[in-house]
Amino acid sequence: MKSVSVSAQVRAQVRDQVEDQVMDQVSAQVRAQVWAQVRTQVSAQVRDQGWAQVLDQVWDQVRTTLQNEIN
Amino acid sequence: MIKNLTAEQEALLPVYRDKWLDIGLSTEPLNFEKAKAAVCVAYESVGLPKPTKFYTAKSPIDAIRLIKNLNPTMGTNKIMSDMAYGCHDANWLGFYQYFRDVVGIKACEKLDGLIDLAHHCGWLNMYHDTVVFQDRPKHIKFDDQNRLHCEYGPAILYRDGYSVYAWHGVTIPSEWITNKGELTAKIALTWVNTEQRKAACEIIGWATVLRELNAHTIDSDEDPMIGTLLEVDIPDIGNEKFLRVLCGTGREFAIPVPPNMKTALEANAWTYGLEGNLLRDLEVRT
Repeated sequence: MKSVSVSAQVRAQVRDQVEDQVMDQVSAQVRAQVWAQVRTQVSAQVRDQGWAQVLDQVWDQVRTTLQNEIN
Repeated sequence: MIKNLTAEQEALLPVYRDKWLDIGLSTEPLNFEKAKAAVCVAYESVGLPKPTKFYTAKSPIDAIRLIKNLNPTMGTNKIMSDMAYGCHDANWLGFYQYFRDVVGIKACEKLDGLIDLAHHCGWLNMYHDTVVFQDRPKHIKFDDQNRLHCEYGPAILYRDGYSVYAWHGVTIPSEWITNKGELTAKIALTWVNTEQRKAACEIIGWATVLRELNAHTIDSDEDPMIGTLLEVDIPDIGNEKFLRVLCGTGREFAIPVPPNMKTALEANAWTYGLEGNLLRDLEVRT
C-alpha cells in the first residue's frame, strides 16, 4: 500500500475552497445565522446542549482514549 | 450576495440540524458499498484517480492495526493524523449541505462525496490507491444533559469491543465501571485528575466517601428527609458542602450543594430550585 495520504487534499482543501466560495456569495450575517443554528445550535429548542458539542465530545473522547491506549 | 434568508429557508435550519445530528450519532453498521461509491466521488472532486483497494475496520484501533499490517513502515501517529472523520464530520458538512440544498450555492457540490460518505461510514483513512473505512460505534450513551455517560458499561462501544467509558462527560478508566467493587474512597480521593476524582466519588457514592472524610456537621434538621448539611475538606479541591439526606425509600444520599448554603433546609430546597421556607410550607401542605 502506498503510504501517501490524500485525506488533506480530499477533505481540508476542498473545505477551504468551498468556504471561500460561500464567503464570496453569502453575507457574514447569514453565514453566522446558519453556523449558529445548524452547527452550534444555540437556540433552546430540541436539544438544549447544542448538537455540535454532543458530536465534538464523541469525537474528542474516542480520539483521546485511542491516544492514551497507544502511548 | 445573499444578505438574508427567506422565511422558508429559516424554517429548514432546525431540520438540517436534527438531520445531521442523527448522521453524526448514527450507530448503523458501515455500509461498505455506498461508502465505496461516495469516496470515489470525493477523490474525483479533487482530480484524483479512484482508489482501487478498499478495506474495513471495526474501530479506530482496528484501523491502526490493519494499516500497519498493510504497510509496516507507517507509524501510529502518522496513521492517526491521516484519519478523516466520516460521520463525525457531520457538524461542518451539515453547514455546507444547507447552503448547497437550501440556498443553492453550487460550489458546495464539491463536497457531494464527503456529504454522502458521512451517511455511510465512521472514520476513514484515504491513501492514493487505498481506503480503509471504519465502522461506526455500536452504541453511544448519554445522560439527560447529553453528556457521554453510562453507569453499567461503555458510553461508546464499537463492534470489536473497543470502547470509551465516561461518567457525565468525563472519560474514566474502564475498571471503575466493570469492577466497581475495587474502586475505594482512598483511590477516588487521591486520584490526580480532579474531574475524574469527582466522577470516582460519584460512582462510589458521596455518602460512602463522606464517612471516610471526617465530614463536619454544619446543620442537622430534625426531619431526616430534610437531612444534614456537611462540610468537608477534599484534598486539592478545598471545602465543599454536601446535603446528606434520606430518600423516600430509606436510602441515604449525599448531594453536593453550593458553598453559600447555611442550613440543611436551605440546601434541600435548593435541590428543588426553591427557597428554604417555601419547601417547609410545601411540606406542611402535603
